[in-house]
Amino acid sequence: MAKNVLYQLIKFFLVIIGIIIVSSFLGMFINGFAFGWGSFQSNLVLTTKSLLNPKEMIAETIYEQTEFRVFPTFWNYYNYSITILLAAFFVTVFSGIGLSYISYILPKKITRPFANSLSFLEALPDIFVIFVVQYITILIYKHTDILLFSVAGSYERVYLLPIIILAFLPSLFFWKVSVLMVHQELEKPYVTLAIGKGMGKTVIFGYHIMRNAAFGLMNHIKPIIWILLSNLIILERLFNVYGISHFILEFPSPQTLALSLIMIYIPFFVILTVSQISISKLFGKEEIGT
Amino acid sequence: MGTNIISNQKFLLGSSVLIILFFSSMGYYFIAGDAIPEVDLLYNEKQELLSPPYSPVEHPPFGTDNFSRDLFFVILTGAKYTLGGALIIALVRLLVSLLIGLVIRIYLGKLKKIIVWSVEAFNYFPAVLLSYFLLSWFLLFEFHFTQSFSLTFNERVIISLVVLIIVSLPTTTVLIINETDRILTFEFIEGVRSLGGRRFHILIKHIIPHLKPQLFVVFIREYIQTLLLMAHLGILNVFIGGSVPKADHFQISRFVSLSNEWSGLIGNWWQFIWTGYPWITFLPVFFFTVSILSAKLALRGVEENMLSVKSSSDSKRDTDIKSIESGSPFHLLKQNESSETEGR
Repeated sequence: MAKNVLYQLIKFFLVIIGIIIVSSFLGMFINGFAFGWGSFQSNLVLTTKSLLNPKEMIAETIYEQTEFRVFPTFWNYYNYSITILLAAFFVTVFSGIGLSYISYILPKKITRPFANSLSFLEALPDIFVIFVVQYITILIYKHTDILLFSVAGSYERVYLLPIIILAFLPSLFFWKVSVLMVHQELEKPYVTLAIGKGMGKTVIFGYHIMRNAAFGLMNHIKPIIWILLSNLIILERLFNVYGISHFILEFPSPQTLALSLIMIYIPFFVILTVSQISISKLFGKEEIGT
Repeated sequence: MGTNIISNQKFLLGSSVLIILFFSSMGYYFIAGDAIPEVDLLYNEKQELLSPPYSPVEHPPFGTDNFSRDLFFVILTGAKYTLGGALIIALVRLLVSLLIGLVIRIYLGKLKKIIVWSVEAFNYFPAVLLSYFLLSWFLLFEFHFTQSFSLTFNERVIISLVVLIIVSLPTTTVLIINETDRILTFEFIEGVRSLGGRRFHILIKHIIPHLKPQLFVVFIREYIQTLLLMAHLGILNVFIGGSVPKADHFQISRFVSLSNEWSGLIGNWWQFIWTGYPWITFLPVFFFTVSILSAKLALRGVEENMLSVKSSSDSKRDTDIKSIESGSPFHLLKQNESSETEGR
């Protein structure tokens, strides 16, 4: 247990150092091209210093070259994006598992056509989904004068729609993965034994299959965070909402980049570590280091 | 790899869509040299002038854009740059990371763990941001500041290709390392070693043949990822095919995709979704979607083919593992995870 916590902490700092290094490297390409060890080093020092002393951190725009203190304005951008991101993350995980539960308890005859069409939808790129949603919103507005949601928000904070769009594709992906995992578990003898003992499908799924599949599913969480994060940037851009990607793209510098990514990483690190440890504790398998 | 991948219908359908798109675009280049016809004034049945941009109904099949260009030919000429560019990027990504991965695994085995760990940060660093910041100065902001590009068009294209190759190298290399690891755990490797097989012999005679089918899968995945990344960069106004400012139909100066490469078209045209001309936005989105879906179909075909061969030769358990691995489109990231857990 102690070893596991230590291991997680080392990993946490490695990721943060990695983000700082990559951001400093990118700094050589921002607002001009200054490639060289010297400029990398000064970026590294500057980024580390301003991260250690965030109150003094300064952001500037590309064009007007106006400067301002990052805090407290940063929270404005950050709170919005992290809310959407975390909400989409939980929607993804729960709807993914929920869908696999439904496809487990219902007979195959009913679920197969759904499964086929869902796995087709899963293959679609996110830009297509965003296009369809925006277009439908406009069509509805044109014909009925009802604006379902403000499609180009800027300072208006829309929550529900971005969360649904963001979670849509990853949910299907996670559902696909968990169906595969469940399928793999179903062939193991303990499930046959449980069925033979007359246990209900829900009990078998919720209590026995999930506890065994949890470890496998944990391995797929990180790619999902990565997809969510990449898609969030595109989504915020296309819906023109002032979230974290607006902050990064409008005030580009190694500091703002590193700060934003680290601040996004921290809550996910907490979630991953807590769920990792609680799964190991609850289900008593050997701890694994993700 | 299956005995005959061509006989797989999914693979055949998926890859032939891409091939037809690419070669019809190439064909048009050789016949007409990328000339894009501009559409003159059109009249309806009552001899009244129609207002451009023309819709797909007024000027089939795709209508015209705000420069009065025939969109069918715009999409057609752009296809070869998008599909061809993604092909080159995915291929070089694969070859370079194969080389680095094999060298690290075979000759620098001890460094493996450090490398796998240091790639961890990339799991929280979206490739879109990485490539956007590497490219935005050369392709976008330099022009805004100085009104000219310091790099020639060809140099800019080469830089874009190099950046799109580099951004995926860390994760793809780790994937190759893990795949090699898996092959090295096979029992016969032990036999080869005790019979005196050197590392280079094992590499050439045993690892590479076993890696080959997996590499094909990785290649198609990289291809899909590249297409998506290009589309995303286009939305952030970084156009791989280069861009020039040009005054449009409404006398507004805009950055225009120089080569009509699709990601540039997406970036240019997304605003039209808010206007009365949504079909202009729809076209590049649609063609990106078709290309990605075709590639995914081909991928599924390859995986099915591998499975059928595997289940006839390998044990049942191995097939199960295979199906789990191949079920995930994010194979490379997942592989990274699982090896770490195994390593402990």
